[in-house]
Amino acid sequence: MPVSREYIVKRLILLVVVVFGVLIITFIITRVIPAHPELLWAGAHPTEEQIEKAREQLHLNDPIYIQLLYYLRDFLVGDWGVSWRTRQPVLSDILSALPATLELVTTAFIIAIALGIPLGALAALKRNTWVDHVIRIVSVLGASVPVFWLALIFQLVFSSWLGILPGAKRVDEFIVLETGFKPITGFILLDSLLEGNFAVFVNALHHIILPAIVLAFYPFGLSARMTRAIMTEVLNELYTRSALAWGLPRRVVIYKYALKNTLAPVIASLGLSFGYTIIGAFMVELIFVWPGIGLYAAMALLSYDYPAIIGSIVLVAIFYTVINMIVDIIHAIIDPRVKL
Amino acid sequence: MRRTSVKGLSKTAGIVIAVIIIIIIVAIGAYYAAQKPAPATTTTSPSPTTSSPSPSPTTTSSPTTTSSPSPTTSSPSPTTTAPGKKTLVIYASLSEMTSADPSTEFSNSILWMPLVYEPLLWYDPLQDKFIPGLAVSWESSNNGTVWTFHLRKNAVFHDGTPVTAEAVKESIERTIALGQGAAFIWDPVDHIEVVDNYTIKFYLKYPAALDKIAASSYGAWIFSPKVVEYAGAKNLTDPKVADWFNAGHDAGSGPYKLVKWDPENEVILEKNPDWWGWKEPNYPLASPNAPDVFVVKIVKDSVTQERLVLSGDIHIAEYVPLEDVDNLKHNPKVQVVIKPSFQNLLMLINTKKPPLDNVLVRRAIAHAIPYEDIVKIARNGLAQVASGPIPHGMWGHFDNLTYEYNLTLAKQLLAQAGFPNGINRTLLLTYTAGDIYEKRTAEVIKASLAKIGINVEIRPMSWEEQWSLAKSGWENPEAAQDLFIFYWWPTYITPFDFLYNMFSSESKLFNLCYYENPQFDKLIEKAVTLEATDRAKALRLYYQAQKILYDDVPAIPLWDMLDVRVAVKSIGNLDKAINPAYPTVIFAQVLEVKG
Amino acid sequence: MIPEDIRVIFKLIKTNPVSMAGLVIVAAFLVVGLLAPFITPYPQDAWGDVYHLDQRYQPPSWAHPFGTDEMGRDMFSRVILGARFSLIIAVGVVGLALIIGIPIGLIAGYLGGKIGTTLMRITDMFLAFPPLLLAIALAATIGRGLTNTIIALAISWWPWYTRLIYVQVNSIKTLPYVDAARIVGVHPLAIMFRHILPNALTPVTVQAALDMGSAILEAAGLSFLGVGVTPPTPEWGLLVTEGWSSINIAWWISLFPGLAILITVLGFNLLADAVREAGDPRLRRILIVGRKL
Repeated sequence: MPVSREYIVKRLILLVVVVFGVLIITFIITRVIPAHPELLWAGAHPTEEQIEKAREQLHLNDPIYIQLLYYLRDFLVGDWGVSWRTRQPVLSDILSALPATLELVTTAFIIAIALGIPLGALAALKRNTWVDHVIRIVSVLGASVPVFWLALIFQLVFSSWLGILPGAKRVDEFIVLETGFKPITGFILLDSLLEGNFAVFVNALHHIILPAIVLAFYPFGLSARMTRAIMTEVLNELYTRSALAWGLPRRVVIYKYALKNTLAPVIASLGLSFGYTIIGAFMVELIFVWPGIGLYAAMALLSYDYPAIIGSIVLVAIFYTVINMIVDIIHAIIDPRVKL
Repeated sequence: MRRTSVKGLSKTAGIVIAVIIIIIIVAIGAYYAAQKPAPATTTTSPSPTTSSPSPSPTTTSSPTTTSSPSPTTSSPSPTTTAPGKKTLVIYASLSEMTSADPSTEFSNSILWMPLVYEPLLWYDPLQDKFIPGLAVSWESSNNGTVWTFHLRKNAVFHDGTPVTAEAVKESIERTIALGQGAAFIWDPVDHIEVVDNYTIKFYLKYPAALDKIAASSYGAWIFSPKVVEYAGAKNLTDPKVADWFNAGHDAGSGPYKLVKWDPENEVILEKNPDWWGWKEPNYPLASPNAPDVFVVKIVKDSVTQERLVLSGDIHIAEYVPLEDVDNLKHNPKVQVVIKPSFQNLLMLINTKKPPLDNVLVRRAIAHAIPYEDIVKIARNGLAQVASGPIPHGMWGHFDNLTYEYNLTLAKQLLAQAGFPNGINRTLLLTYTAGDIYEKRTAEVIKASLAKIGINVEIRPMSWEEQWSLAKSGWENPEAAQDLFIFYWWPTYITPFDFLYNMFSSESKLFNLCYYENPQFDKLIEKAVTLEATDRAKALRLYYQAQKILYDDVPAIPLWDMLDVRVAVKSIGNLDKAINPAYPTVIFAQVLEVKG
Repeated sequence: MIPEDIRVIFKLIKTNPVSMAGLVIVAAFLVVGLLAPFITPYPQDAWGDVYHLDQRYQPPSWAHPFGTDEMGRDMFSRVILGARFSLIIAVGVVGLALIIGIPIGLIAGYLGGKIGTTLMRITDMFLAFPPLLLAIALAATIGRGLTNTIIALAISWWPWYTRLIYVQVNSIKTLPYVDAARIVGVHPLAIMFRHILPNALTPVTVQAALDMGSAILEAAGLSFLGVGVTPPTPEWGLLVTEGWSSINIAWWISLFPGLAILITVLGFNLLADAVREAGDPRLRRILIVGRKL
């Protein structure tokens, strides 16, 4: 099913427009709303000199549209300011934290899809039975639970009380030291497999289970509900019924037609839930001391490290926009009825 | 017809899904079964019933890892007794490291700097005595305005350059010239003279206790002047030198070398086999079984630190939740070391804003605060009720300066001040957001002052916000907060540091009581110069000054913090490795690693 | 139109026990939230005005069903009073979001053309942020506190309602009675607010009411990240956060406020779910583009 080039080009243009919009909104929030933006950027205990330097850097003595141009330029050349906390450029801090977050979020999504789609399908097939009710409650729970609270409780129960899973960090230090593990891509699970370092892989897998399950709750609920809703509709639709009437084997009908048709909307919904999940990661990473963007941003928030806060927010927003675009395109490939 | 077919469908799907779920469960089960014999990484069983004295559950997580490769550098160290067998101690720090520049660092990196760099002298405040560092002997003359230090001849920087008087001079001069961080401690110094290779003389503008200044925890580190060369800089004050340090290089002479600098995650130090202290017989700051590798691991919350130390993943925790300390004391896996610290918490009062400009109101407040309750609630008993602004255990502290908690007296004082029915204005108290000790203290104060008819609104603010609000009080006391919960800790160990910064009329940055008393100012200025020559008299003056504060109540000292470190049992000498003059530091060179 | 919709929804809820549970939870929350200051067993504990040295860290008991916290205060009272603050936040956020969102959607939808497109593009920009992220950025800029929390959340919230109203207005404005009003020369503002708005309002208000659960959830998230309400306000998210440091010895401090959030939000979401399942396809179609799926 070819997707027209036109569609992709249109989508890319829209992406640029949206990113531009995101930047303008963050500009307004960070530079126009505060009475003294330079104080926010100058760091703790600033001297007059540092404040003046911050004014210079932010071009606060120029008219506002010039400031905006500088802001956009700085963003494009990767000059996102320096974190007070780490004294490193914000962009490099964020990029080095990115793999950890992606690893966590990806694992969470894999768990969510692996459970959500089959359970959602089951609920649709067993509509209005107790199975359906239970799945429905569980999936609504996913959207209702405060993720930080769930993380605390999981950590308490599974790590502190039962002691069956580690409740913090990505991997144990001494295993890394002992095996001489050196990350290549920053995705520990992937790297350890590539290097054939099974000890590190198992250890990292251990560590990722709790935070990933906590994070998976929301996308799980969403994909289960989506699958259920679409599956119900599809099952009732005419062509399915006629397919059955033609005597196609039931299994073929379910998997070939029904499930396949649910795929597109489910993927779209996962794109949406990506936003919630990455914000959930802010809190989950803080609790599980997972060294990703979430932990970075949460620590920045708790210590009022303003450049780092804004840097992480801009990056996450843009990332989210890009993901949504990719999801839309995939969606269009799977389901040619989609129009821009 | 349709109904049945759908039902039939559901059966197949149900079976498929059941199979998937079973496969997942079996996979997880099998995975765990396979895990069992392998070293369990976190056996955080909190049950203290395991009477086994073994310090840690498994061999791998015991502090003495028998790992061969050194963590970052692969250079085999020739002096370790058994090559390939290195002892490792991991210390968890709550806050990330800041800079690595020994001249300007005035923050968290103090945690490792004393292991890599050395000062001329170390100071043991609890016994009020000095321990030789790079200087072996020293004397002052001319009324405390000239100080001579004799350096040890066997000290060598990590780059191989010997530690000479010239290096000391250049180090301190760089700190002074940059004028950042704690550079102000050298204010008394007029000029420095190199007498010979191993003798250095300081000429002061006015008498000062330079021995204590030289033992400061900030801004007194000596480093190799060759950094100019390494950094490719023009001179020592060239910013390139700072960049070179902050790229993770060290130029110290201490027992450890900086080998990995990842300030947000971990800092790794490796034993310097050539350090003079290892060879010096009976040197108090060295142990034959000091760890070969000392890792500072950033673990940002105390609950996690506790979990990690219980599982043996780290060996020393900087902070654990204070509520858990009682349990940990009985836990066979760990030891708990409690030491005084020189950090104290005070409540500064806006003495320029009515009705707090009335000393009777301030005294009433001082007598309406239940100090013991605050210590129990805020710190779970792990603090001492303050007696004056100088903390317990420090030279210059006196035990009779605690206000009595007496509500009748407080009400009387308030009535005397003209407020028999309490104060009709709600007072604003600010504290640092996120600090639970300050928060609990603030909540107790709010509840207590309500009992004498003073309403308090407590407001958490970021440190910067509340500090700038408080500073604005010098111009406009009406706009500033009424009460300000505030920590203080000294840069170097002298009562003057506390008394000057928080109460001198010259100190506009930290005297946030806006307290102005010329008599007090004169007393402490006199006392600090006398510290160099007549310590007994200096002590008397410091007492008088504190008595004035006691009567005037510009601030109410609340509690002096006790530091709690929790470590696995196999770490010996932990008590000796902690010195309140150097907060957060674990002197790894003193530790005994058993195993 | 309105009673008819509501009747349909009710009928559906009645037949489904799970939806019924949602309705009961929401009703209970509203009652507790309204009466909170009068029904806390220990009002002073609830407001954080006292401490009890001998009552610290008491596990749940008959006297203290949710235990006590580090100051010896009754957690049950604090959680009950927390319902009041959650209610304030929820009403404040969706109310403010409606106030911002409705006029923009109305104007964009009615005027259409370039102005309409521009307004809707700006709205879409706000929607490009993941939920909560914009609120975090705003809260970090304007500071903590109850009012600031409401403002920060509302600013990231209104675009959803603008969109809903926009869709509605677009379909209503071509109806004959609107044309009639225009021809007679009724002022455009009057047409918008008197003739179109009342008919466009139902789905958006239903959606807003159901969104209150999400508002509570997101406010709790802000509190946890240190940019929400300030202590000693007994907001549920803040109560959970405050219990974090002593979770190993007093799990109940964090557990119960978290459960309160969970149950309340679950109630709202089950109800929302029921409404979306409702037979009326028009309502369902409109609501499915709403905030939470």
